[in-house]
Amino acid sequence: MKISRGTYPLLFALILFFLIRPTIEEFSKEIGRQINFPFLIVFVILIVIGFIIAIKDKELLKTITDERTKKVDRFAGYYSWWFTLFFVVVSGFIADIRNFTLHQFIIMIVTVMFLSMTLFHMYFNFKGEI
Amino acid sequence: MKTRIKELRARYDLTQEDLAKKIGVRRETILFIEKGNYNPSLKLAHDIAKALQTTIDELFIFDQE
Repeated sequence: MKISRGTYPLLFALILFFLIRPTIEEFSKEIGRQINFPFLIVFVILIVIGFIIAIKDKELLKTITDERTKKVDRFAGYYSWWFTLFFVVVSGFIADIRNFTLHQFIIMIVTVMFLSMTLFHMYFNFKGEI
Repeated sequence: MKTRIKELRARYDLTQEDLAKKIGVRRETILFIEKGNYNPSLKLAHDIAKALQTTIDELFIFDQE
């Protein structure tokens, strides 16, 4: 896993894309009525920011990995895994009460996995000492 | 832990990016070490000391706390 500063907006854009995919499918049909249209703008902005940071950091094609980044990757994965496990247990009860479909439940878990991993990665990366 | 990296970088006219490239690490890693926010491994400390033509004990100043 090679994540750099420029990857954060791209990962957020990916999460957003995952959530607004149905909107994009109907984008040409009824753009005016779509509530999620602002999210599409945010998605495009995040993609652009991600690329600008990657170009600025000279990491568009190659990401440098060192001992600190490996540590950050490891810690982000570890905390994200536990957080997702906790989320699965808690949301299991909610899903049962609110009658979520399996598809909705899986989308929710995958989104939380991606989001928590990115947020933990950002936190540890900006923190310095781990 | 305090370091003399900034001082020695200035002596050899190296930027953080130059030093990072020389050792093969990210610029942020050098930044965090310089600020005393990250304790490098012995190998990385050795590599930095070597790049700045000094020794580890001259480069890093350990507090008693």
